[in-house]
Amino acid sequence: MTEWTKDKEKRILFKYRVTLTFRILRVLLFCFLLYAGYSMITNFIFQQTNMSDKHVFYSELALDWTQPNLQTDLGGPFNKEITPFWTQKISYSVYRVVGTKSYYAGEVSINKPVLTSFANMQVKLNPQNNQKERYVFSLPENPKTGKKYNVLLNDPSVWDVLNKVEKGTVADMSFSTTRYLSPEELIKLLKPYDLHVLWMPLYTGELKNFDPGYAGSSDTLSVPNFGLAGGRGKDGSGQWKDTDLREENLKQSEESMLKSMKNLLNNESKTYYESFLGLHYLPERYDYLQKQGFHTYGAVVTGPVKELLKLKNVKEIRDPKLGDLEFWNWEKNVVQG
Amino acid sequence: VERNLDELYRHFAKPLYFYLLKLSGSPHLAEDLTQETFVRATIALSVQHHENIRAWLLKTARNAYLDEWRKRERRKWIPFAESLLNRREMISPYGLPEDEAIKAENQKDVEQLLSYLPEIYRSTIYLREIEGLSYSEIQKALDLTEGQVKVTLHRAKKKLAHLVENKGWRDEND
Repeated sequence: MTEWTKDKEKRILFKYRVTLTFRILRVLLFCFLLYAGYSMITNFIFQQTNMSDKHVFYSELALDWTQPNLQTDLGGPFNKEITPFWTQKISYSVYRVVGTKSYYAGEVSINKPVLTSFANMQVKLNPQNNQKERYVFSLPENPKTGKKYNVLLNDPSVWDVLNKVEKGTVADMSFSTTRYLSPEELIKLLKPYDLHVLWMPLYTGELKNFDPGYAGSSDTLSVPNFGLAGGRGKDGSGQWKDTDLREENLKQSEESMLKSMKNLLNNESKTYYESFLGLHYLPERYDYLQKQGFHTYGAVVTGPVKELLKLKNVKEIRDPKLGDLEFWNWEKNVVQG
Repeated sequence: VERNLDELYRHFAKPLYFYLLKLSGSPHLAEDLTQETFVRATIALSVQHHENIRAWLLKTARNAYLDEWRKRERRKWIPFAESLLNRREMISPYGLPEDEAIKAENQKDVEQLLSYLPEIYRSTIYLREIEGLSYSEIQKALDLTEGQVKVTLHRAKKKLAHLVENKGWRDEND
């Protein structure tokens, strides 16, 4: 028993290899179980505390203000999870309103680590949505030089398409105006037509008080979109949202926009609303809207194609751009939201 | 690396086994503790280099033996655990009771008397006299200073001589 043999040597080395393998596997299993347990606990806490609701709400506001005619499903389902490092991953669908129906347009993905500096929000739209070219609004005058841009720029193909398509069709379109109008004035201007106003670009002091960048030609000057959508807010019973802008809810939409801007400025860091939400020059814009009031220079509207065609004769409208065409879905004075 | 380790372990398996056999008194346990020494060495060798591998492996083996003893001591408090898990007897770090050494008629081998010494004496004498380690190697293997090694070795020999004397093995000429 106590003498040394080759068999004993082999046995010891074999047992050593087996034990080492099992020990490594045991450590790996332990690490996996620890990871799984920790993930389950953090996810449970995350799901129970609704800590992601704030980010969802503010990201929806940012979309309302910077992405024309991009709607979210109010209170609708959104995917949320948290990584072991407490990075919140949230995603939800966005829709475009054409007529009175919403059509799937893409996904919003939010990645919110503990440090806001590394947070980001991505809007992935279906390629055919062509959001950037479709919703470009031209200022009626150059804020620096005062030069007026009143060439109508009526793209004949827009009116031609609207003229030729069947009347049982609805569409959305955007246009700019030849002068600044208050939202109330624009609503009144469009009142004779059976349309819904979904979004209005707002002038908030661009190129005068701050320089957000611009693009243009001899007859156009565009700045990054920032505008008024149907109001969105929170109250005791939950959230509310107006899908479109109407005479009766216009004041509420304006007030809720100012209130939300103020909340963001007071409660969140600059990194949060600029780097994360992409809301640049928010303090400057808020000051301008507070002091100068709301001035719009265009709109996104939707309705039956033949109603849209009538806008051809409105002398304040310039640079129209046609969006999507869909089969008939329209009822007069349908209120969504 | 794996091949080198295999060669290394093949080379040291025998001296480690006999050292652990001397410490534990059980051939089966010595086998188990030798492979445990290699497992520990593989994990530790990947992160550090050791100049004196022999001394370091002996130190790892000794720690494996002491840990096994502590584990068994803890299990004593669990009902039936000892009978289920610790079937193989082992010599404690304190050594076997001296009275037994005196009563044991059939033990004529001085080397076997080592089992009756505390572990530190047993290790020091074994590593010095049987394995032929230098003082500095024993220092590394047992985590002692050079002075402590010398003192321990002296005391161990004295204790062993005392046992030999008590058993009446000493010649009158000695």
